[in-house]
Amino acid sequence: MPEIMKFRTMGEATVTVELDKCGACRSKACVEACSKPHMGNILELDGEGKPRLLMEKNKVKRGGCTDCLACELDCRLYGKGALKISLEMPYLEEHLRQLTERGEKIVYRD
Amino acid sequence: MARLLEYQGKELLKKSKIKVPRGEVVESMERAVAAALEIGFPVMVKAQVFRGGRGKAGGIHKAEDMTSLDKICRTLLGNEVGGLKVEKLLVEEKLDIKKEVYLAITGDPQTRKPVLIFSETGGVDIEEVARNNPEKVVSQTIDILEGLYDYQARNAIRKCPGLDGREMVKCAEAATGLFLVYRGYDCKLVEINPMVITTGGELLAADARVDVDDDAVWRHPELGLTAAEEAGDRPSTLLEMEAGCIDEGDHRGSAHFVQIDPDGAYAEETGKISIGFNTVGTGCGLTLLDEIVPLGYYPVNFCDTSGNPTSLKMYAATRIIFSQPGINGYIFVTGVAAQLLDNTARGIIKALLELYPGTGGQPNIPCVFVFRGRSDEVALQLFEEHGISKSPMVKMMGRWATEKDAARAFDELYRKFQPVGKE
Repeated sequence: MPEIMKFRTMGEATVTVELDKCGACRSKACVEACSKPHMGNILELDGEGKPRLLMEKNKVKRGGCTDCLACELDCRLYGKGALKISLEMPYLEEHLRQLTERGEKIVYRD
Repeated sequence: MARLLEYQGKELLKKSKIKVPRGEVVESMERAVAAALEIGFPVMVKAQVFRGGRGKAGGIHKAEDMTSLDKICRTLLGNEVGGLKVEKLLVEEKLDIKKEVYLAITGDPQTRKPVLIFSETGGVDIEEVARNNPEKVVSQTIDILEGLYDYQARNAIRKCPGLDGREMVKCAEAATGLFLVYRGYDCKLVEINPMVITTGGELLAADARVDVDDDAVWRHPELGLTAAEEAGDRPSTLLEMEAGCIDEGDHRGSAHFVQIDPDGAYAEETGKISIGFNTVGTGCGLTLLDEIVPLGYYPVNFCDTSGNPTSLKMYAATRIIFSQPGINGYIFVTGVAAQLLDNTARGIIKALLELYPGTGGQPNIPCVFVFRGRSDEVALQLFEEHGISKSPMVKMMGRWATEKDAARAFDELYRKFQPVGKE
């Protein structure tokens, strides 16, 4: 069973961290990014060198996380790509589905 | 704009004790017949579409009997009125009209307060009445905290000589009720045009226009509106509906997106090149429009992401802009902003990484990014770290660039990489 940390943010994004990958990460870039002055400061390292929340999930959801995306981008660049932030955009998905149905092109799908 | 259909607006009026004609909303011929039989002929049949001037556009008809009702329903249901598809009809009793008046409450940009507008000439374009017969239009500024008192409404309405005492009192009562709708549902505009005084002396709202403030839609789930960006008289597109969700429940900065040319038809007709467009600050956006349009480009959307929005909001806005069909480029310029531009950049970068996974976020259309203001150097550095600024399709500019520089840079880039057939 993979070890996963998951929490929601005020912007309705879901942050998912595959903690199994974090043990081998040397940079700990997510925690470093989050700890900078104007960032959320919601992550810390646990005894095994894996990120964990510094506060309760409901506080994170109420604005503890600033939705700055720095953890994900830095994890991608300097870490193991273990942290993903996803946002549901149902109307956009429907728009894309309808365009596909009509055979219209979207620039990034060319 | 979060606008209600006539029948929905009338439901709100009824709650504020403003009388409306007996009627029923129907979606089929069978229901229309049943409604007409219950109300009794003649009936009015009104297309429920978001459009002013429905009468002139052929959306309102009188049905004298079953034959004419059948013909009207066939003409309207499933067809278009003013370019909008009719899915619902309002079948209503035909009023015996003695007089038509105009009643509205909206925001007055000069006083920054609500204002009651009344005219003894209703059923016509109020702007035209105000232009040709200004004495027939009266107004009363309303204190948003105090509300509209009955005596204030009467005092304003009595200035119209065309009403007798009873009519004046009834109109004043309707005005105070209308303010309750305006305030209670966070409206931008509530308008009854015409408000009918019948031969029997009754006062009824023959039409209703209710526009709810887009930013207040989330406060009124009971209205069943979808938070969407302002789209004028046409219904919001799916992309505008998605954009409307960005600020929902998240007060941190804002993202406003509207499609100017949703299908790119105008750009094509006028021979302009359609592009995606985003600025930080609307003033910057307008200045950039002044620079980019004369060069032959046409932004198919307007987007302002300011007030220090989160990176996540920038991410959502960028994905939406790039998802417009047929865009041939993208331009992003910040005004000299106090917002954290490194966060702004992160949102755009995440969007590009996801839209262009095969190239590590490097786009396939000419893109200009101008960052000016707080943390602008960090923003530029982030684009470099992620390898996006290395793309020949991308031009990054810093705090010394003007809107003119940005437009020219885009033009140069576009000319270098113009798609086949766009020469």
